[in-house]
Amino acid sequence: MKTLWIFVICLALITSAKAEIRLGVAAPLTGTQAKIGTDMVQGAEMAAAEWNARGGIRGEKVVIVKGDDEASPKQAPVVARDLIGKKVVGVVGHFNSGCTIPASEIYDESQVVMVTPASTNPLVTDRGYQGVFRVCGRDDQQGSVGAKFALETLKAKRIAILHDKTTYGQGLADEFKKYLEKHGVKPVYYAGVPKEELDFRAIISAIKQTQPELWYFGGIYDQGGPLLKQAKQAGLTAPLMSGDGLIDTALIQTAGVDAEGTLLTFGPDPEKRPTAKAFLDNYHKQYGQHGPYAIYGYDAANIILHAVEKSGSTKYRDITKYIHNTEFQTAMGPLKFDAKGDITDTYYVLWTVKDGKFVLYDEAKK
Amino acid sequence: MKRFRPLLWLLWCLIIAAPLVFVGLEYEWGKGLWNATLRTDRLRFLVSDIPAWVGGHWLDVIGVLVFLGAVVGFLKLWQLTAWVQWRGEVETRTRGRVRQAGAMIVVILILTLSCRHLADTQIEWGVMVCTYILLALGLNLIVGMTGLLVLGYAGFVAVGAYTFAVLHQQFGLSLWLAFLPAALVGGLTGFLLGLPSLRLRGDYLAIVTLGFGETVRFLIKNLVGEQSIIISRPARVPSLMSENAAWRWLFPDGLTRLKTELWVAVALVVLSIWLIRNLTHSRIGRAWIAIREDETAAAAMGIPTVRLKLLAFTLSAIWAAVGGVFFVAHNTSANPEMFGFGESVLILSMVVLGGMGSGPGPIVGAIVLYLLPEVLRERFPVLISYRPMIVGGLMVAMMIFRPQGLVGSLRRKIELKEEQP
Amino acid sequence: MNGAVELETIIGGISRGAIYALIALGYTMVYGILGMINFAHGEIYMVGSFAAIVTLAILTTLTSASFGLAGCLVLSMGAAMLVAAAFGFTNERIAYRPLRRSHALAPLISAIGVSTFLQNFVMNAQTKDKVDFPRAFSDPLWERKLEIVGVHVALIQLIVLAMAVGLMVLLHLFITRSRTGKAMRACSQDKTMAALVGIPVDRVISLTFAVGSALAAAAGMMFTMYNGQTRFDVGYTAGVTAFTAAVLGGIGNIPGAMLGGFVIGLVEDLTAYHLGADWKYVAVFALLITVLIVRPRGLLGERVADKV
Repeated sequence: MKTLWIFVICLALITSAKAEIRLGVAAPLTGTQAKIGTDMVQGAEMAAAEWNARGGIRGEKVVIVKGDDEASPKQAPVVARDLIGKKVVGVVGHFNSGCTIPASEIYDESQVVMVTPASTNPLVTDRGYQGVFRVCGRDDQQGSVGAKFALETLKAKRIAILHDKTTYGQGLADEFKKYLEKHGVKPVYYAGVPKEELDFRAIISAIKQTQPELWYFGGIYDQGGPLLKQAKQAGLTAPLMSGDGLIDTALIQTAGVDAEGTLLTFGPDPEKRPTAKAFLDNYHKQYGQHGPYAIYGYDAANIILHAVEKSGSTKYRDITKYIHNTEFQTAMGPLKFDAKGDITDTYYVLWTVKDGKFVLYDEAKK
Repeated sequence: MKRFRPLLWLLWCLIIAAPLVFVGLEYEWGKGLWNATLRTDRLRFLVSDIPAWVGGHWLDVIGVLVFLGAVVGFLKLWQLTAWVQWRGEVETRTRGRVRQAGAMIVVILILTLSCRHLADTQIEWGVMVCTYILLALGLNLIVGMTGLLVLGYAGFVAVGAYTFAVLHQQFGLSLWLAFLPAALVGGLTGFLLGLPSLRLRGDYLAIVTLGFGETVRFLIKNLVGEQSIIISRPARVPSLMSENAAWRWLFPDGLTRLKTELWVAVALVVLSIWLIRNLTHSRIGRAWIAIREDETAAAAMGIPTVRLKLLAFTLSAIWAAVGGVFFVAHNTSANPEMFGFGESVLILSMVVLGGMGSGPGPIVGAIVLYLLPEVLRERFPVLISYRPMIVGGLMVAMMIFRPQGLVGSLRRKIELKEEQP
Repeated sequence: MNGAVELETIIGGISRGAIYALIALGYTMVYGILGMINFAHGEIYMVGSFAAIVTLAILTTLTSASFGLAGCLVLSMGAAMLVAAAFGFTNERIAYRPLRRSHALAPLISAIGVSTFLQNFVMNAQTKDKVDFPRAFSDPLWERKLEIVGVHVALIQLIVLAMAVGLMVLLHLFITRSRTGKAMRACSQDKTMAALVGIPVDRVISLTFAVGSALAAAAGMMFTMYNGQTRFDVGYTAGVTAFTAAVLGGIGNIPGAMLGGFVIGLVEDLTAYHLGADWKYVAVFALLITVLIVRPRGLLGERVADKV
């Protein structure tokens, strides 16, 4: 053991600090969701580069420290402690709700600010931690926006619900179900399917059996694609509704024409936002086509850096106080946090798939 | 024939490599998916990743080699003195006591120093390594000592972890109180799984335990749900802060929760080493070894094999459960995904690499397989995703060339290598 | 409506079961001849599915798919079987043969090593993501449907079933009629005696591994075509399930493995249909435990003395 500790101590000495402002970015950088994680990191890196071009914060350079949580709840706390050990002023991340929740326990304990660009589970902010924020919406908003649309616009009475049993998927499906039941509609089918599953035929048969007018899936695109395909093959013609987990081009690539008409709840389109133009132009110049989460990574990083500059300190208390009390002008538009750390605006709109592209539902109707 | 040796080897390499390369070919489907274009850059990791890294980081490579050499050398020295006892030679009691006290002092000194000087990153490694050592020690009881291959060890860990998580969720039970019920439930699960499994031969047992590990995961998903269960702060290891001057001097920022966790983890490891050492030196341990070496002969000698195998199952499961409780408290949340098959294989490979049935073996295995990739993560992030692959290759190589493990005993070597059917 | 959907589920279960049966054959053959379980077999199945996709990619790149749909599929299945056979062969050479005379734990652990290695090799060399089977090749088979009294049966389900049964019949003929098959059966009865009468035992064992692997690869390809996707870790679950099938039918018994496969496929799909997809793994495992305790020789197996 002794040699081990000597080795570790040497390493610690090598990596010890210089004067600079460090901003942590925690996201899945390897594995299935590596693409999304890289988008977030690139967004944050662009924010840092812009600050450095303006001369840094109080003359100190902004440095991005990356942490790879592998999208695993086991690895997330390890990454959190690693970032804290590297003395970051705040963290942009994580992506998956299942990672954000345990990691935020540690950030809060060590008094480090965290702004997540993508975790939508209510529990992220519902535990009442002062330094936990998110620049995206919540699953209960998302679920109720979807359910409201199903009840009021589609006038569906027979609705089947399926979820992938993850923190995200089941959470979303449960919120959807809750809204339906509050308005007196009982789902005709409700079940989970393990997220490793590839063959959905038996489940689809069971759903078909209930003759739904609409079915809902809480899950991620890599299951959504085959699900859609197999559903059409089995003759389930009711439209599918889902959440932001299905917004990925891989869905259309896998399901092809079978994806047409799928309804999805997601944030507004950044390309329609005048404030996002500068960011998007810059991003396209540097990294090429933007993924859906790049802009959120950029916004989250900017919020922390703004707070560090304006509050004039790198202390947790000052930064959180500033973030709670300020309206930020972000690339997605003006944004303000409520006491819990959620954004105050309503956020979700309906998207659909038309001619192999994701478009806003209202535009597709026209 | 001898002249063609190298050529034959080359042919062998080709036969092995060709299908691997074939399966690794990259392609990209174009529009409409009728046309694919083949590319070669995904095999890049074999051709260029590793040499490029070695080229860019030759200093690290030397560092790692020196580190590995140091670990092995240290253990060789260690083996000569302290572990002699473990191997069954009797030492005089007083000398043993003195040595034990000395070892304790060294451990406490290292802990204090590391709490003073190390950042959270390194302390986290320390805690995780201790957790893995704990689990590997427990698995060694059944795989190494008794010779029953258990492939679903993570299942037992999950049982312990979820006993704690669920009790915490329902009754707000804290970590210290949870060890007991978790150990009970874990032991009971081990016992119950042991009952039918004892009728099975080695490979059947392996597959049944493998299925058990998966089933536990699915049962948890179905009955408790896949949402993470958060362990709230008061239920975890406390942080010890004090304004006492001596305390301030010893631990400048106090003992944060993480640093206390390191102390607890090391205490758990020391306690298990002590317990397991005494256990393996008792009648029970000797009986286990007898069963491992020849079950029929052991039964003929009057050893109650069924009872002892059940005992090994139960104890090993208890270790797993305790490790699981601590792990969950450290990780702040429990999620079924943490206890997959990969975890079972990782722990098993720690035992195999270090040496099945040897005392320090699992410790060495855990250090090499967990700490090394973590330390190198910064410099060579891909290494983490290569780890399982390397582990797999290592397991085959170990079985062929050094079945007793890095620090295994001679007895084990003879046993594993030269048994005639 | 109700009966029709139920029937469709059963048909789905049977075609799934045919695939399990093919994998289970590999387990059973190796067990019959060596008396041990080939842990890496599930991974060979996974490798087969990837090899098929890669072959299709090569065919479309180099020949712009000029063999036509059926030709391409048959060729890719052939290539997958060939590659998997090579894997099975080297697997036996590296991980089993050097350890044949050692302690029972050694080959088990090295087999787990091989399976971990293969799985993660494919993950690193290909991708962690799910990989699509090219739609151009699988969709036409799905779109053609038969409808008999309201029951939809896709062409692909029939093809999978027919192919699986065809392969099984071929295997049966190979084992019962050919010289090599006879040698195999001789080896599985008594290796020493077989060696004494001049049967090259080592070569027969290699061949067994190769044939079993080729069957698994065929299963892998069909399953990918059937589901539309594959992934580096599909071999693991499929392996355990198929092993259960082999045990259920009586390990070492070839018709038993086929029967076991069909039964397991049905059990899985009916559980998923009635209780939900998350219970099917639990159901399979419960079945495995029950069979091992109540009737360790399986449905068709002969009594074996040394299960303990």
